[in-house]
Amino acid sequence: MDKLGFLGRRLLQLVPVAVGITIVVFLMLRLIPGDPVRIILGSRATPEAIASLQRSLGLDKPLWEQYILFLGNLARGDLGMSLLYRQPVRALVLERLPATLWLVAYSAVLAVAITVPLAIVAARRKDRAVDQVIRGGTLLTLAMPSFWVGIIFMMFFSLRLDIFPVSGLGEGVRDRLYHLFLPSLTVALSLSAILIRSLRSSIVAVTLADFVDTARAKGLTERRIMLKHILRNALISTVTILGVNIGFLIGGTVVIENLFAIPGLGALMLSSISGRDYPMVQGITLVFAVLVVAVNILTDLTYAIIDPRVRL
Amino acid sequence: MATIQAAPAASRATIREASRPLWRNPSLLMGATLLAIVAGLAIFAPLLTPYGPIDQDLLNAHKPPSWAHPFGTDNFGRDVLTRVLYGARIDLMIGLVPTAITFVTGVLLGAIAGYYGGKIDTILMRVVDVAVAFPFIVLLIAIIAMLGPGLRNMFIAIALVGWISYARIVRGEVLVARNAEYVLAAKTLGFGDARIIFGHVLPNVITPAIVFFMSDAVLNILLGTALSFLGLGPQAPTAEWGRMIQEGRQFIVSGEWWMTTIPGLAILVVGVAFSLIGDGLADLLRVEERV
Repeated sequence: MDKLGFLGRRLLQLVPVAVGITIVVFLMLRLIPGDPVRIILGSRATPEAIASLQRSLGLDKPLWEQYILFLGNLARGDLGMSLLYRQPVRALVLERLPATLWLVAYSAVLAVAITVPLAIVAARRKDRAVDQVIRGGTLLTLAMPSFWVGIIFMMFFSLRLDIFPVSGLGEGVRDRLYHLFLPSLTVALSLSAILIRSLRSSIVAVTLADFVDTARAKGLTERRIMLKHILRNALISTVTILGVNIGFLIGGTVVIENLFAIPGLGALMLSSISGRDYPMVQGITLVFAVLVVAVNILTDLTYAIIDPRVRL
Repeated sequence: MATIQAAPAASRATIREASRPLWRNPSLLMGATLLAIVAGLAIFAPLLTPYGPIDQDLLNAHKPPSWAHPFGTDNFGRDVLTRVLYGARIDLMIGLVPTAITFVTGVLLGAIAGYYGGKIDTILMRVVDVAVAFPFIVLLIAIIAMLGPGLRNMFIAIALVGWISYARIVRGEVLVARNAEYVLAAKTLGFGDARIIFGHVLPNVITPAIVFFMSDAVLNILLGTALSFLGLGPQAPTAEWGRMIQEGRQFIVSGEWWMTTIPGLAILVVGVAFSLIGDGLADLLRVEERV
């Protein structure tokens, strides 16, 4: 039951953040230099068209009233109309969301699969040659632009070896995992460079903890100590570190979607910019923020479940 | 009195120590050398190449690396080496200009919030909570979507959001430092707040922010080139590495690897240079903790 209370308190803390997010998304439109309506419609628009678009964007009312209206629409799940597609933003966003979620989840899984073994090896062989090599590798990877890594992957795995497709989403789970492998690997690589560093130092810290000495004194094998004691704690750290970097992960997919032509939110966001589809950009920005917040809550919950000490 | 003066004296000692073992800090030395080389190449670009960064030569388009064009030519016959050299001017700026702006604003805001606490601090932390709820690059893309693409607007976007990390780091440090004896002593002596913050608190807490500056420079280069790759940065025909990769991307199908590979390597070199400097500084300034 206390886990439920924990969730409740966590959600309550979110209220000011949620309000802040809506304010940022609402005010974004104000950054447009000049009159957004004239920019959208061009210089040859009729006064009637201008007035009508102003009404539909709600720009003819005072700012605070516009914000209340905006909140009311949000509460009903209304993200406004896309200027480019002439359809509700919500429908278009929901249509593109699954591809992005696939990419995010797949990248997270691959990142963990890369991170955990390398971080363990580095921590176990701290300051030895292997550790230095892994350290150097993360330094290099951290300095590589992910879109460039993606292109290199394309040139090698898709064009030269012809084992992975250059773009697209695929149908069905297996085909999708196959299509999204290179893009996810690209996102995962840059993420794991960050994760390996944090996880390595947290494993080193755990290794020095008293319960490891105790386990050793009990005569447990090194293998058992590693698996049952150190790794379990390291896993908790991994979840936390992953949660902290979720914004980085989701941001990474935006660029990679555009490179691999994956029909997700990031690709939609970019195509909306050139079409001056401001409501769409606002809607997608909002959805991305909701995604980050949701994953953060999920991380906290996972944390509470796998760490028996959390009895908040 | 001795304990009161200990903190400032220590930081001065650190600076003296720091200037001594530069050659014993391979990370810092290598990073600084790499960066100096890139900066030199950027500055002396016109002397190093007979071509201009936007000179088209359609008869020699799509040429692989050769003696005349060591890194090949692009689809307009422009020399890729020349464009990479000139591109360094813009990309070094992307690494340094927004980073410097956000360093100053972030450190100031963090120091003020941490030192005064109360309402100012609460408001700042709320803003931080909201800002970190957005993926950083999504916020940048959204801002540029509103302002319009271009290098200047890219800088504005980063400046609007990038100060957050510095403010967080410095605020945390100042929260601890404001109760330190040397601050109490300065207050007792009747020093003004500005003098205490700039003269006493900041010199003692700025180190982590300086170390972070270097990783932030790497981050900004990666973000900046990514935005530029997405078409939101400097517009054609400007020579900029992210843009060059974008422009060369369609030609990887015909095996023209040099248009994309070379500018990416350039980004990598600058990123590694800043990372090495950061690692070196972190090593070097850890002296302070031991004193």
